[in-house]
Amino acid sequence: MNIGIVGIGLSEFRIHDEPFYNVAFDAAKKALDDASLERREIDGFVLGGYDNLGVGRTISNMYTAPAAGAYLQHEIRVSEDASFALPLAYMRARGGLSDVVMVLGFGQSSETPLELVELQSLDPLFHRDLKIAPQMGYALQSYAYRNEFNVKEERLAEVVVEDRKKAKNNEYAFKRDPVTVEEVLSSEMAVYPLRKLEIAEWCDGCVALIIAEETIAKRITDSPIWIKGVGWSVDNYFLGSRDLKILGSVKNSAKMAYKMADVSQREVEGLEIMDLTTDYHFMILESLGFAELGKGSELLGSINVNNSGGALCTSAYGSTGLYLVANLALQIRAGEIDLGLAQAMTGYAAQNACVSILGV
Amino acid sequence: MRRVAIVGVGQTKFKTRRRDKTHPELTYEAMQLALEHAGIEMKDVEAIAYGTMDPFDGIYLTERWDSISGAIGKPYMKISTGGTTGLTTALAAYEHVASGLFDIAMAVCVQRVGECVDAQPVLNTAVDPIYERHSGIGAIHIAAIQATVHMAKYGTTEEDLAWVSVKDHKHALKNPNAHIRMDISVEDVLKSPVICSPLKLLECCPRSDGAAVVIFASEDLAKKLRDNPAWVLGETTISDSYYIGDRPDFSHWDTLSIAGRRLYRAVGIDDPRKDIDVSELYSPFTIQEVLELEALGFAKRGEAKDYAKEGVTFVDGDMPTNPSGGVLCTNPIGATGLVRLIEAALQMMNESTNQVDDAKVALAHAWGGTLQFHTLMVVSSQKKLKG
Repeated sequence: MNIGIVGIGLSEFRIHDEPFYNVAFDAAKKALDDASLERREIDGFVLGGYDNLGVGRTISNMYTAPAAGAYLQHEIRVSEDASFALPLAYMRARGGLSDVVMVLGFGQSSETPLELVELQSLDPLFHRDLKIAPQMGYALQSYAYRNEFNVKEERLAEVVVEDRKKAKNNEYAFKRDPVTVEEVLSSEMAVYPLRKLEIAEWCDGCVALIIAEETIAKRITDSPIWIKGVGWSVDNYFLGSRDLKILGSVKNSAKMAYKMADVSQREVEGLEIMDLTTDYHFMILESLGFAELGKGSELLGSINVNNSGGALCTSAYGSTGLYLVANLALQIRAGEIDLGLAQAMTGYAAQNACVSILGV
Repeated sequence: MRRVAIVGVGQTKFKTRRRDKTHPELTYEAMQLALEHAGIEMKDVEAIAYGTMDPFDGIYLTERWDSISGAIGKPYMKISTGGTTGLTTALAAYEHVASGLFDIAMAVCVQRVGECVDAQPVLNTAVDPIYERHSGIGAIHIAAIQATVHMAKYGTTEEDLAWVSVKDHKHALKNPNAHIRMDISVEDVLKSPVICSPLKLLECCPRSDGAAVVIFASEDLAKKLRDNPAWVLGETTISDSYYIGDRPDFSHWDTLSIAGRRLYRAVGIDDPRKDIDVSELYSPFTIQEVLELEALGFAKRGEAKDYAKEGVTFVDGDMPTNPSGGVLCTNPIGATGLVRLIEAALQMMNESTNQVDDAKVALAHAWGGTLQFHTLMVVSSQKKLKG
């Protein structure tokens, strides 16, 4: 059974001051309009986004579910980056349990001090006293990666330049001003070896995708974007037990998604990847099989990656992954590519990852 | 649609504090019990749905740490929907198998309510910060409103509700994992201190630490793994509006009634009183069992108040309800819904320590939010409801 994306809606990605359910409603309404569907035609809602400390409210689907239009309907929430909600919605549709499912991702980074919030996810026995903010987790990996493979700062800075160039043309992107290599390299040192412009800046925003089982999808639109494969995985929690140069969870997720889609990495024409830092950009490409370990930087400029501007230009804690999926789907709908892959990762040193392969 | 069955269940002993184990160790304990029950090993489990309600445990995103209990390298997804979390996590794991992507998936829920000073202020952080939070409202206050309204409308008495507590506590005496195990009388309940009028201490759930696990398998595997799997016949969830002030009638749980009707229609249940042999309902406060029985069609409105008093909902009555002792005797909040399903499954496997005679169809229920969410699942010892 094939499952296709039939509706796409994105809110603006910026710091939102209005009540956040308005932002969620905006994305959901746009997706419904995009699919020419009424709320009542959706028979399943799968929400994706963080909870309590991460958004300032406990049971965060309480206020986002009505905004999505889930009133008196089936509704569930994946408490993770919303890209993880896509596989659950996919499984529900593929199991024949719902016909048309909305996936709503919400990320409200501005509501809480995320550096402190993420510290609370560290176990109280071994990690919490280390006070490793998420950015320090990024830096540990960047340091390990740069040192091992001798990746030059200039090459890494080019990732930001390239992402920003593409974001300039993406109306949904948060950071759209162009930057130069010099500006990246002269931006303040945030957490060694990462400079400020090499780390994604948090923003707020929501994404809604409507997916449907094949026969219904074809009634809704002539050109559904098919979900060819999904994969998700978790790596070891203990940072000390991991090889920080490798993104094991991304590798595992990609393996699962490629197998399900029955495609190889060579067939993928476009990528949307969650490059929360410059180093991650290369590390992700390597874990997805596009380059050998340590050689991701050689791909710069030669493959279609982050047409949206990527996470370096838009990252709303909780909805970033689904934002990338939506952007990939838009690219496929526009006829720019026929097969693409979107990747997301969360947790310290990318403990969790999710990969989706979409195509015509 | 692909047929799916429950092939193994496991639950820890529930207590006020499980100081003997860390978060992942507690998770591991329940996982091992479920694997043993299913006769499989962790390597056989292809995917895991993990559920908890974060804010009680003093750790944000506990699934990250708990992944070391057996999830590393596997597809692992976190579900959190308030009080319904246990059952929505089960639903997610069920969907993993129903989709055909996996043949064996595990639902894991863990909660340590004992880590927080008081659960009610935590629940207050779920309601809208502008319009409702200042009222201090949590779960118990809403239950007190439900009780007051039901009493005013149907003449429900404090004694009627006390009988619900007596019944659940009698049942819990048979459940070795139950948190509160004590033999109490109607007088004991009525004499216990008022917590939130008209609800008294013995009409309110405890705050429990513990973990629960349910393993789902595809039809072929289920038949190989055990002679008595509990087949999943149907599921549903429903989501209401956000504001508690928008609920139309506290004497009747209309959203549960709608969800129940949808589920019965999908499964083919004509009369729940005849077709469902045993129910595990999410009733952390006595009044809620009464409302749930009425909303789910086990009683007409205003009539379920007499059920416990008349023995109808006791394990040997016409409509056995909460043979595990229910939420009133054990409440690890984010795992509580899964505990309901575990008892329902054990009843279908004829393995409960408080077995209902000849039970073939069981209903598991959970509610969450400020009366906003319900999740329901029907399991059976048979693959089909009839025939």
